[in-house]
Amino acid sequence: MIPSPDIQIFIGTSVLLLMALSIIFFVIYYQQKQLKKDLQQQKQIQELKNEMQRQLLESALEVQEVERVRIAKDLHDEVGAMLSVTKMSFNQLLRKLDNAEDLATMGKQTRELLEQSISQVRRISKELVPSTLEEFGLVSSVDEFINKVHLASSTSFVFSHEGIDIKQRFDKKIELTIYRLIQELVNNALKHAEAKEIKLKLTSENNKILFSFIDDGKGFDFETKRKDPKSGLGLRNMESRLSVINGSINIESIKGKGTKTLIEIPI
Amino acid sequence: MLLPILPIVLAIWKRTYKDAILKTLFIYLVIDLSCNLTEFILAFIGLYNIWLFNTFFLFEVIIFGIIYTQLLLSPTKRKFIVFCLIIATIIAVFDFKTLEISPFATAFDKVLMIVFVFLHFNTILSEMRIKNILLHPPFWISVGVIIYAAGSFSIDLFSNYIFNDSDETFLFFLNMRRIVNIIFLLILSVAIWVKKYNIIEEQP
Repeated sequence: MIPSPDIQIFIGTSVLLLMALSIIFFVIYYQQKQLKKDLQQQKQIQELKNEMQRQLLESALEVQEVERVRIAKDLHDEVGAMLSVTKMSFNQLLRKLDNAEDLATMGKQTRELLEQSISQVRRISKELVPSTLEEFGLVSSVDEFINKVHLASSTSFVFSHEGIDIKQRFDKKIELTIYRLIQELVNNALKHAEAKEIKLKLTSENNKILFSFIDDGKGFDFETKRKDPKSGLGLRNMESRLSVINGSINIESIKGKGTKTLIEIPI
Repeated sequence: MLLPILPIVLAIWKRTYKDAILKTLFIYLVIDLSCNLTEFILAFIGLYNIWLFNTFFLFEVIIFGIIYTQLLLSPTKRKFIVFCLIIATIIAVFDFKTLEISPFATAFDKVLMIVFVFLHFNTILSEMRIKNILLHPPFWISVGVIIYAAGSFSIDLFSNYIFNDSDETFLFFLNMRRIVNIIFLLILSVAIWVKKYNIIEEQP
C-alpha cells in the first residue's frame, strides 16, 4: 500500500531533518575528537621539546663541571707544583743570604707572598671541584662549606638533616646540584641580603629530597628580580639546574624580613 | 511573523552587526522581517503576495551565498558558490510565477543552501582552526541553514499540491514550515549570542 502524498511529504521532511541533525552531531563529534587529538599531539611535541632542552642543559652543565675539574687539576698539579718548587728554591736562596739583613727581610716577605699564593691556588682548586662532596657525600660537604663561610664572615649557620645519614649518598647529579644551589643561595644571602643568620635543612622522605634555606636578610621582590635580566640570572640558573633533575624551587621573600627557599627533588 | 525581531534586537544589543559575516546576516534578518510585514499587509488588503515569496527565496539564497563566500577562503569554493548563485538566478527568472509558488526554483535554492553548509562543514573539519565549535557563530548559522533547508525542501517542492489540497493539510504543512522557521531564527539568535565567546586558533 502506497501512503498518501501528504504522508509522503511529511516522511520526506522528517527524514531530511533527521539527516540534517545527524550531520550536525557528526560534525560536532568529529571536530571535538580531532581537536583532542591535535591537542595531544601538541602536548607530545612540547614534551619532546622540553626533554631536548633539558638534555641540552644537562650536557652544558656536564661540560661546565668537566672544565672546572680540568682547571682545578691544572691549578693544583701545575701552577701549585711550580709555586711549591719556587718556594723551596727560594728557601735555599734565603739561607745563602743570611748575612745581608735587608735582603733577608725582603726575602721573607717574598716567601710569605709565595705561601699565600700557594694557599690561594689550593683554595680556588678546591672550590672549583668540591672534593669533599665526591669523597664523603652531601652532608659532609655542606657542613664543610658553611664552616668555611662562617669563619670568613660574621654570619651564623644552623644546619640540620633529617632522614639523611651523614654518609648517605645520592645520585651524583643530585648531590652536585644541591651543593651548587647552596653555594649560590649562601652567596646571595651574604652578598645581597646581608643576612646575619642562615638556617639550612635537608630532609629525605617519600622518595624526595627536601631542602629549605631560610635567611634573615633584607629580602627582595621575587617577581621584579626574576624579570630583571641582570639580577634575575642567579634565580634562573638555579631553576635551570633544577629542571635537569626534575626538581622544583619555591622562593618566598618579604622585604626586611628575609627569604625562605624551598627545594624539592625527586630521587 | 515578528520572530526575526529577536535576532535583530540581539544583534543590535550585542553590536555583532560590526562583524562582516554577522553584518550580512543582520541584513538578511532585516529583509526577512520587511518581507514578512509586506506579505502581511498585502494579504490584509486582499492583494496577491506569492510573487514576494518567490522573490524572497532568491534573495535568501543570494544572501547566504554571500555569507559563505565570506566564510570560505578557498578561491575554488568561492567560485563554485558564485556559479551556483548564477544558476539559481537563471532558474528563478525562468521559473518565476506571480500567482503560485515556483516549486522548482525554491527547492533548488534549498539544495544550494545545503551544499553551501556542506562546504562550510568540510572546511571546519579539514582546517581545524576552531577551538570550540559550539562557540563559533558561523557553525550555528550553518546549523540553522541546514535545518531550515532540510525542513522546508519537501514542503516547498510540493507547495502547489499542498495549496490545492484540503485546508487541514495546508494548515498542517504551513504550521510545520512555521515551526522550522522559528527553529531557524532561534538558532540564528544563538549564532549572534555566542559571538563574544568565539575563539579561533590562528594558523602558524
